[in-house]
Amino acid sequence: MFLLVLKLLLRTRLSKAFLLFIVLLAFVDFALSFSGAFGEVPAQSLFGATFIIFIYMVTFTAVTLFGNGLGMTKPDQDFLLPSSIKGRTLNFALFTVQLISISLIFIILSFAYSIEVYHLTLLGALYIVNFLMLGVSLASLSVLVSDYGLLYRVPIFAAGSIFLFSFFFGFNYSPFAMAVGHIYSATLGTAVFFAALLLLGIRWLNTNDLYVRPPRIQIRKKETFKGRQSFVGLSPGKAIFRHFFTHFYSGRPIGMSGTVMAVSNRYRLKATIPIIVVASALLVGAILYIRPSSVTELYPILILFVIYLSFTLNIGLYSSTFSVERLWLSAMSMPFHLYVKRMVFAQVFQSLVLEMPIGVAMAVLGFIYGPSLFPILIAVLAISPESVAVLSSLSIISKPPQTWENAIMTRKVGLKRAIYLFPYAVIMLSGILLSIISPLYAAVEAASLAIAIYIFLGRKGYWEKMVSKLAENSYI
Amino acid sequence: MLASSVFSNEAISAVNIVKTFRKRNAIANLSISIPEGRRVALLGPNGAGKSTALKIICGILKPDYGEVRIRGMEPNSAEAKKALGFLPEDASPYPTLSVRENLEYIGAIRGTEDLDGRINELADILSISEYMEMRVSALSRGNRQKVSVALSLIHRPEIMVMDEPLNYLDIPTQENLITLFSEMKGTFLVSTHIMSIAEKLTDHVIIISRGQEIWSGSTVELRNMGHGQETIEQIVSRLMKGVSPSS
Repeated sequence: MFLLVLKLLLRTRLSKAFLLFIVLLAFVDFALSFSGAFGEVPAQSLFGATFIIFIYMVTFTAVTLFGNGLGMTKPDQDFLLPSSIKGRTLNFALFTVQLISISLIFIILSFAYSIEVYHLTLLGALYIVNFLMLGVSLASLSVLVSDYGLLYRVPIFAAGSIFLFSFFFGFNYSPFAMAVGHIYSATLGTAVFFAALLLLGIRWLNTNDLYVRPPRIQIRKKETFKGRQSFVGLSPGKAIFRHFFTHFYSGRPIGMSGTVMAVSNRYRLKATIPIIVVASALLVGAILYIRPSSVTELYPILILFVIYLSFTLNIGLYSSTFSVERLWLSAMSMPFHLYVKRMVFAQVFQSLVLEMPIGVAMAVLGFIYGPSLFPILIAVLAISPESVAVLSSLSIISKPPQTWENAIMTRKVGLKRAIYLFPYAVIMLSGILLSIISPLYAAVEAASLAIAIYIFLGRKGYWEKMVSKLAENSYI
Repeated sequence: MLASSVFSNEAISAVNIVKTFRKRNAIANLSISIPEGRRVALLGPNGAGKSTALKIICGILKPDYGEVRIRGMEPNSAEAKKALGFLPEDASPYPTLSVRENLEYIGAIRGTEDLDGRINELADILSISEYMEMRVSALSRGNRQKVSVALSLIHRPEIMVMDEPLNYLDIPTQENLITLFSEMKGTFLVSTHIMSIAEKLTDHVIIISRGQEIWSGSTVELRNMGHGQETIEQIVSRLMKGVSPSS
């Protein structure tokens, strides 16, 4: 039986990658557990920290490749990860963004460690990276199980939330809490492994030939679902508002916010808001529990948390809105610029609603820590994905309609380019904030800026080609 | 700028259209003129520029050069949108909405009168009543095509532009749709590369290749161009290869 399962796992490229991912996950957990076996903080050992960072980088790359990169290069016959060409194109872009961004974070943190300051920063970063890694790996898994729908995504999201808790508890230097975190990670890794085995087994049972696309298992094909909307009797403007206010559009779920989108698409906004509220409450609760002695200790949490959100939520919100959006329907229903204006208007309100809990959380922190926290809160809010989303949306609305229409119609699509620029902009802004803490960060920031300039100016043609492909796909 | 009188009494007018994608000419100086009420098939081999031409006519793509008018109006104007019904190839309705929600949504933003009645009417004709509460993502490709057809007809358009409308459909549904389109009044421009479908849906043909018109006329004229036992498919094939009709 074991050999059969192993053979099954090694039959396709994707399965091999998944197996590699599981092994690496187990390896990381082992490394973490070993480093902290005597109740010490792993980052307090230079060797341990370097080792962990190396393993994390390898794992992250493998996981990202598994989750996104393979989606681009696989042949159509590979039924395990069915995705359209536009999905693959988007995945490749996301993969690139994630890989480069995380590499930059690592460079920054390595510098921080090299001068043996901000141990707290490094430790926090390690846990955040662990969180990121799990987020991406779980998202990858959710891609794998996408045929099976939300049934599997909800527990995965719940697991992710628990991990978030363990991360914040671990932040408090408590060996017990860290042990809980490690046990949790190991348990989750094991659960993921067996879930994958189960899914592969189910697929295998449905076909005798792994290279023939089997019929999709119809678990999610329910006759009805919750949250049915009615558009009858609504004016065109109200119908568009209701549609886009209550929906996220995501080409592919990425990380935790991908899961939020999946929930939103099924249960609409009424289920999404509580999730955001709970996540914000978790953030505030965790920070209050930690009770950092100074505002400086809050910096890494807030900044990296925002970076994580930026990677996921904003990319999901904007790139997918215009790539998955059925332009033929919109374009044929009314003058195109009018439709886009109304759609973006609805999404501005959606962003504001989603921003509210985070804003309340920040206000609570500001109230507790006093005026000294205000600058960082303002900075966090300024670079938070929702704020930027709102601002960019407003900037779109304020432009003359023809600008938008021409950009889309002629496929110059400047906005889409801006979408890919956004995560880099966030990193740069974060770097500027970090520069305030240490001049060394400023040097790293300059390097990252140089890389960004190289990518977007030096390789302009490459990105334009990518963007142009996305634009083409948006016409179906 | 062309004078509006040039477009009088024409449902669809495209004059000297040029469209280039990355230095490749998708449409090269194509002109199409379709009077009100005429049913025209746009025939051509793969990559001839049929889909691009239809998207330009509907205002989804803008031509690099040339003018397009729908009843003398800009294709992106509200009036033209109201008259036009467009069914793209491989159309994909909103996957997270149910069939009914899709129809209600598009019907609402198109300002359809008696929307509920129209939805039920189309559901009956297209045999999708039993799928109305299902998400589009859960439908088969054929049923998704039926929903797409319904979406393009929801506002009772008078000018239908369709790109491979019978793709993915089973034979009974194809026959139902052919009957439906035959009974509908209005102007039709149907892109296809299958002559039998063109013959069933239309009475005029425009053949294009490499973005240029190579022949146009009625299906009767097309048949009369055959030599001996030559079938209509063979005639079309000969024209597409660039062989002179008189040779």
